[in-house]
Amino acid sequence: MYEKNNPFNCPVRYPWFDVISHLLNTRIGLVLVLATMAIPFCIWLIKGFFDDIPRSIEESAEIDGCSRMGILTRIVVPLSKPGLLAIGLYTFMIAWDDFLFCLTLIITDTLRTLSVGISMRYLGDASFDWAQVTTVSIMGAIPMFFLFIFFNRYMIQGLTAGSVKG
Amino acid sequence: MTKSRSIQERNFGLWLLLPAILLTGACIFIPIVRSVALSFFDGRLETMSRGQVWKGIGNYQAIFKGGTILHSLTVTVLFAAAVTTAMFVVGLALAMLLNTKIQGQRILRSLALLPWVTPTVISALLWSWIFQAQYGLANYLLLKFGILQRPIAWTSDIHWALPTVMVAAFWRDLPFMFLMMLAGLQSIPAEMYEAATIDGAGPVTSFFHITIPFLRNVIRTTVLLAIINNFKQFPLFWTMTGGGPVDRTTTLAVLTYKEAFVNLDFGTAAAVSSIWLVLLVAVTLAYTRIFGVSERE
Repeated sequence: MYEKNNPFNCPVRYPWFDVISHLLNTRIGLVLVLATMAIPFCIWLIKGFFDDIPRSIEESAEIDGCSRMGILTRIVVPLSKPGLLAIGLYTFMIAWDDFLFCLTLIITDTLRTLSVGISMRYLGDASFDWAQVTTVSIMGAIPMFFLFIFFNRYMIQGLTAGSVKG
Repeated sequence: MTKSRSIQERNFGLWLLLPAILLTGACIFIPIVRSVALSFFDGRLETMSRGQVWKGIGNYQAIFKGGTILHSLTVTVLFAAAVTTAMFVVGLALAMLLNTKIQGQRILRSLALLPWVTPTVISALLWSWIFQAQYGLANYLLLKFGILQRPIAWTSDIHWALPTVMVAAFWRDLPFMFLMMLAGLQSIPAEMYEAATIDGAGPVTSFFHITIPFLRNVIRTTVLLAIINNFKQFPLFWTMTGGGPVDRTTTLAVLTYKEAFVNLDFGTAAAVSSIWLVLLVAVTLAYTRIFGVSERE
């Protein structure tokens, strides 16, 4: 089996990474990367909601003297609230689920997020303590289950509104 | 008047897009360009401190020499093809089943979606437990019903490791496929089927002439997303098999990670990921060309 536990045993020094190296192994760096990874999916999803808002509403707001920014904040955003809630939930899910970025960008144990934390703390090379592994798995999944139970209508509606049209 | 207005519109849009453009530029495009560039340099950790050494296609020669990359490519394609096909067939069947009026359909739908909110690593762990060699449920049941004569060490068996990961991937991503198919099915007007039945069409005919054409859009989007997702799958492999046994589950993702963080050669890792990138872009382009995703009817 390959060395799983600490890929960063040797400190990585690389000239090109100097600029980013300040963001490596920090919370804010991980947050920025994960947010970026969620952007394409969120745009695709929220577009379905924006498309549903009739152009005539925006036009009449403009005639009534609403500025371009005002149309966005007072008409488009309130009307697509379910969509905004859906992309919020998805981004949360993506971040909760993330494994790759936390594994490669974070070295300090205390900064690790759930997925990588579980795999590094509880998975030994030779044998696992399965009781602990299953306990921590259930604990890690429960928050998502609750989120899903309370918000599944928005999540499903959000996903299907944006995509069924193709 | 209208012209300056459309320019204003465009500028406003650009301003709103600016944060997204900056973030994707900094976190996606620049790293991709750098990674492709790095694949032509010596990127071994022990020599990297001496500065940039041009290596030409040396990194590519290295990964092609032992057939490593071709093997990984085969594994990846096999995995993506099998999982996507299974997900599509079962997802569509499940969606059609739950689209009919059966009892407790609402609860069944919610239950069917639960795997999808389970974090990937956790689903990997739960499946590793089910397929565990000594105490796992899979071995227990298969032995009990006499299908197996002796237990299989699923995740470390040369023939069974890849199918084991496939099962976990299938389970994890099926709900997404199912949900999209179900939404598509619900957008088909019921009169369509009634009219077809009156005209004497059987269930098979109406499936191929009504259901499939109506679902076209949904199918091509979800299948493309599934292909991309499975092509990139990493956490399941890394948690369940670590790429083993004897590289039988080393996909391109696992190979890239191993080259970079196990062999500590960022040059070959960048070479693998460049090939991977080109392939994925080619597959996506070919797919959109063949199935016309970008066109709108």
